[in-house]
Amino acid sequence: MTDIELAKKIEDKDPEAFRLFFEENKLKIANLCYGMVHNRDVAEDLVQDIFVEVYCSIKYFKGKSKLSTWLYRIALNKTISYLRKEKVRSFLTPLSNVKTGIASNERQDLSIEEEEKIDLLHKIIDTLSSKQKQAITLFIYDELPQKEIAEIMNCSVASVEVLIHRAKKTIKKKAEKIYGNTIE
Amino acid sequence: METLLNKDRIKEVNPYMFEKILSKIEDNKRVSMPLWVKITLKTSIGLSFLLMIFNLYTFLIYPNRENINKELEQEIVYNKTIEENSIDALSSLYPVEFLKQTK
Repeated sequence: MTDIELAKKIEDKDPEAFRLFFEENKLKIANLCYGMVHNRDVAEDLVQDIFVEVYCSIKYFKGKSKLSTWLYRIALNKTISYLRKEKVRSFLTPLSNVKTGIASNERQDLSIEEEEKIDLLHKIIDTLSSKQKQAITLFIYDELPQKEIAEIMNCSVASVEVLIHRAKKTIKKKAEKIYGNTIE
Repeated sequence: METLLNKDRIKEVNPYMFEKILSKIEDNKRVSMPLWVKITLKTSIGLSFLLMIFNLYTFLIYPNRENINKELEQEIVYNKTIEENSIDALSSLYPVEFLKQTK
């Protein structure tokens, strides 16, 4: 089934087509959101909102890009807008700015040392510029090729390459500064 | 770093997520209002806000506007009294000389 056919079926309110589309993409979108917000509960809420938005605006999909690229764009915009709102909220109510995602982020397959390193990486990733953060998240968490990242971010492949390179360099440098050695 | 972040990736999501999405879509359909209502609402809120700012601006520019108006009204009434030569009628209340002096 082509992307346009699938989109048409979703537009025609075919529940099976929408379920198929959701099952195919849920983990990719969940990882994108998680890579940006670093909180599993928030990421799951965002995934829900993103698929609701996709369902409501599927009529605007014209097939100029892949359906997955279009979905990633919506996901990225939604996540960025969430982060923006969160920034304003934490500025207005600094006392309530307590990380509530710790419990939900418990990973049983990781050692304590690995968890600490991952938390540190999250903090460093948060210090990156918005574009670098988007590029590195799509590259590492979603394992997308640079060409697709460029399409999603609406920039050239060379720019994506530079963004990823710089992000990696910054992460390495900051991790070295904190731990005294690199995070491999 | 990549290895570590790969381990951090989400491998499964809430199994009831799709049902939640469907119920959210249903909710959206129920509470959604037509576009023209949204536009009218936004325009009226915007206009009210502009009016509020305009009122505040005029209040700050002319804080004693009411006093000025009162003084003007009093002057008009006084001038009219003088023009109509009815100043003598007030002589029972004030001395005529005093009233003429103030003229």
